Amino acid sequence: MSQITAHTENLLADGTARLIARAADARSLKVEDLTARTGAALHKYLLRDDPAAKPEAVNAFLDSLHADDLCLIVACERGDQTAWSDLVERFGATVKSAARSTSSNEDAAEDLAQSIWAELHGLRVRADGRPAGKLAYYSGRGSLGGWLRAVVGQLAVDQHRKSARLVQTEEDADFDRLARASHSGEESFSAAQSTSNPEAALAEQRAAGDVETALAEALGELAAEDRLLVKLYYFDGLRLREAGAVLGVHEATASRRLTRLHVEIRKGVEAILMKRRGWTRSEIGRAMSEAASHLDTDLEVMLSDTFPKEQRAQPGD
Amino acid sequence: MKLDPNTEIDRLLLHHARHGGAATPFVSVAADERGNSGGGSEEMQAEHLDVDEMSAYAENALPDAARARYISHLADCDSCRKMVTELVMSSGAANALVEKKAVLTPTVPARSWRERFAWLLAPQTLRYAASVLVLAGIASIAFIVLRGGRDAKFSSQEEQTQNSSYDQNSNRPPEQGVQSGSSTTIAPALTPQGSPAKPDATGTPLDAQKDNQAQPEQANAPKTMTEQGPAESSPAPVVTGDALGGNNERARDEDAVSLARQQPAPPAPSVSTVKNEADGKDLSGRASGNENNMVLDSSTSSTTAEVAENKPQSSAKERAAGARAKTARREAAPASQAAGSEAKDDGGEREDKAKKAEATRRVGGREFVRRGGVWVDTAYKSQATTNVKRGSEQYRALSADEPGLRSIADQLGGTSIIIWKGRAYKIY
Repeated sequence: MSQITAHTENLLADGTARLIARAADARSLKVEDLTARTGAALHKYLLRDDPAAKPEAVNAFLDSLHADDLCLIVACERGDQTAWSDLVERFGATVKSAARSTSSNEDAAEDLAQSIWAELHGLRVRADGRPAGKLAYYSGRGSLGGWLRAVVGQLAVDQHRKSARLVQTEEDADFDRLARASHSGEESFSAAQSTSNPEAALAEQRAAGDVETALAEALGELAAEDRLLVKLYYFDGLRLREAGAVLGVHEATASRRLTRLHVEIRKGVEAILMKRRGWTRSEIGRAMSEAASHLDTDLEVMLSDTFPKEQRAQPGD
Repeated sequence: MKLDPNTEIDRLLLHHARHGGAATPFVSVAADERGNSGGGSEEMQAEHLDVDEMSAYAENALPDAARARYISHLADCDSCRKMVTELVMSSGAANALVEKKAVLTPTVPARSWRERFAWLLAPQTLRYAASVLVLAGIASIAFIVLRGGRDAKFSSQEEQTQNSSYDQNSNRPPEQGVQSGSSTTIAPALTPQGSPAKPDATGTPLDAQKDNQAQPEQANAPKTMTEQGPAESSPAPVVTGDALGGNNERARDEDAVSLARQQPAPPAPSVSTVKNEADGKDLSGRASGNENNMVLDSSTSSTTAEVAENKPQSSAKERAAGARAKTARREAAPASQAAGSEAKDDGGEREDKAKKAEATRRVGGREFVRRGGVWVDTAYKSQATTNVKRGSEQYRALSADEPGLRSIADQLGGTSIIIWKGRAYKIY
């Protein structure tokens, strides 16, 4: 064992002892009962990205773990019935509430909640005779209530998938994606085809397609956090406030970032078109302006109730 | 119609999200022990966030490096992103965020001066600047108008004062007039003893008598007067800065007018009488000097007969002015006290109103009254309450189930008793 690892082991042991001391109810757990769990969390969230983490960072990490929640879960894993009773009593409402929010009716919510407890307890038995449940995956980093809500959400998604009628394989999904990409430059700019000059319309269509491709490429070049904001706001349809919450920033901050991103994305598109297509700045400006103007028309038509849904997925005529 | 650059990009991104960038809507069914959402390439499947990571992310309980790693995955994985978004929304994290300065990633390049200049001239920036300028302009105009109104009021008061003194002087015959515009000439005559002057052969005290009779009627008089003697007089500016001062001015003006009407050409008094009156004036001036700031300079008094003719009248007026001023000061003091107490009463009434306004609030269509530091729903009839502590799991569950109740509790703050769907909840 290296010097650094041994030092980290010492920090881990001390941190775990402090965690037990912090807990209002340590449930008669000892340091060795928790060290494996705290060590796994330390490795998963800190050492994986920073193997040479400073002692201060290690101590701060261990001191920020939810002591009571972790002791409760570990006690449940060890078969402590009192701990199980406490778990159900304290978090029964949380599980029910989370189940209700993901279910269509009360019965489904009740079933889901019951499934959660079964999943947590574990139907399989491990080699040492203890049930293998999902409790083993709680690290204490987040709160137990939040973790339970996540478990409920995950289980609801799994159940929905199992009961879904249409299931697409990975290969079919790839084909679909390719097909959409090949038509992305044509189907959406159908308004351009309505002009009287077919050559000009074709040129416009191709220009719009180039802009679209450059836009996709420019998005891929964004930093991860910026890309996430774009995905949340444009692709997932979240409001700025909600997108900001996912990013952990205030709505105003998210708004400022988005404004900055507009400029950055535009620059990226311009750079790609100038470099790859040899366009001039004025040509790029004109093409983007025309593409956006045509989109304005298309969006209005598409968003109107009279536009048939089938035609939206079809390539332009 | 040409769109601005930001709108163009906005439209293009929206279109791209709808058509060009949509990810695979369906993923594989299998879900392993770790609760992975599955789908995508093998690499992405291995990197999918498990429930522990999702919950830690949603609660912002991750070290920076781990968080950055998960953000990178979430940007590309629709299923994980959707799960995390739902967790974030259900945890109410959006409400807890306060505006902080944006921490930009190191990859963001610094803006050039051209970009900054372009940003300054951007329509959005100009729009904000224009609205700020308009508001500032309106505020400054309002300030100027109000101030101008106040100045006009003061200047009109001063003008009236000066006009009255001018009228006073203009009515005096030129041969009598050593006096110059003196607002103190309205003072009725008084002997050193303060009693009305007895009539003498000159008949002057008759005017003084009339003035003395007018004196008790004067409820207001200038608080301050300056006087430089019978031979020369100076206007006594009255600047009290309050309604009483204005009233005093009006009263003095009225006196000036009435006195001007009463003024016949006084016959020349005897020298002895003049001397007595001068002494009296001197004494009365000294007696009231401290209070009225009257400065009488007996050395400047003239002993000529011509001056003596004017002196009784002016000295009598000056004495009367001084006495009136003294009376006015005494009367002004309780009046100002009354005004102060009136102001206090108004303030007290205002305080009561404010307290009443504080004691009741209307939130979410419900009315709440403050009792003992607790906001209590008026629909609460002392029934049993369900106590829910903020931050507890029970509170989180309740918030998820009843966001309206949480919103009301958040707006009220502190401890509150809210009737919700027939039940009483005590949020603390």
